[in-house]
Amino acid sequence: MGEGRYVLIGWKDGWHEVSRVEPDAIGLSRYYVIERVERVGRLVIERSEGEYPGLLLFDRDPMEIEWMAMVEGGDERKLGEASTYREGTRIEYHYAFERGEKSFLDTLRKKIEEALDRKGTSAKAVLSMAEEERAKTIEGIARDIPLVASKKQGDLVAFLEGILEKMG
Amino acid sequence: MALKIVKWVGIDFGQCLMSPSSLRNPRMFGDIGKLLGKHEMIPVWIERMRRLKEKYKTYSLVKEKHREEILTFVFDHDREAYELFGQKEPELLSMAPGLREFLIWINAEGIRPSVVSELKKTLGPVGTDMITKFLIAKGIIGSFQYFITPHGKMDLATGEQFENYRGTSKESGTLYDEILKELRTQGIQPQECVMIGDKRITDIIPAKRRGLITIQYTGHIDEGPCDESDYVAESFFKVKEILERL
Repeated sequence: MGEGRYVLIGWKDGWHEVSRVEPDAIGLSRYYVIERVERVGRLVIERSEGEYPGLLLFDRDPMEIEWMAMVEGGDERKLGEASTYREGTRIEYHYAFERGEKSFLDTLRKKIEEALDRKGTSAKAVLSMAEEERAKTIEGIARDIPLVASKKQGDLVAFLEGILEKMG
Repeated sequence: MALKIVKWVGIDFGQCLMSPSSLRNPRMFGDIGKLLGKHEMIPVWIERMRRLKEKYKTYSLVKEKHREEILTFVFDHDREAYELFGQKEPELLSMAPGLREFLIWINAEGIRPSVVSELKKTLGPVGTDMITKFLIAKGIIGSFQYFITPHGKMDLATGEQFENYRGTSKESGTLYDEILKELRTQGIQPQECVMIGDKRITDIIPAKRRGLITIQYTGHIDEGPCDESDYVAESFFKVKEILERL
């Protein structure tokens, strides 16, 4: 055996798996299974002809999402009433897209201007910073809005850089 | 003998005798990735499979009409992974609740039902299509007599194929016309035949219009009632109860 400690698991259907555990592991403590309803939101992204749709998943209170918008690709949409579709134990809640009442993007631009004012800087100045300092400053602006990245921090920085470029 | 008037039973496959509820992407692609030592591909395959489903709206449509894209798009031409997918599918799909008990009972009553499906692919030997693979994997192939599709009828015991069903369809009713034509030569009338299925447009309406007794199966998908469904059943335990009372 290589260095490290391992756990072997066997299933009733004959399936077996091995997992490496911490090298200081001394025994099996307990095993339990959680059963509960989990909800996951799926946002299907329309793409150009011939391309497979894109897909964004949301597990943070997916039924509490209020609106969504494709930036520079369409107007803001409010989520309307949901119709349900059941297949076995799976239930899908399909939301109607309604016209949004306000523009978060305009609000966002305003908040960025305010954050830049508070920091005593400008879009042009931030964009001319060295990469690491620029990312840190942008992340600080994002915290003030507040805005976070769903998946990768780089997406947040790139998005706000794009906004700053248009403001500069 | 509990059955008084029923002499023939046809059962639809997808979302009826077969329930896809148990076939979850993380399980399917998880097993495939682990078997091939390609753990890093598991989330990639899952994501692609979900996107493929969004292109065609339902998994059943993907599997019935666009199966090759599972190879080309989901697995990016990884044939080994695709073959494992084909092997795992019948293992992970499950039987409708009460199906095994129903089959034991109806076989004891002297009837071996037929699977009546809109399978779009050409019929190969037994065990080469998704449906007969499933029946074999679940150990129930011996409970059925024929596999009837618009590509032909197959005797599930001998593998013999009959071409007289070619070009028919459930939705148009021509497949049921052919079934009834054959049954009449055995002295079986439409009112002695039962068709069980979930879809009104293919399983219930055309069958009822030809005089069959219809049972709308709602255990997986419930399309809502229609005038042409004589009975509704959410499990095969219920199907058995209905047939016993006929």
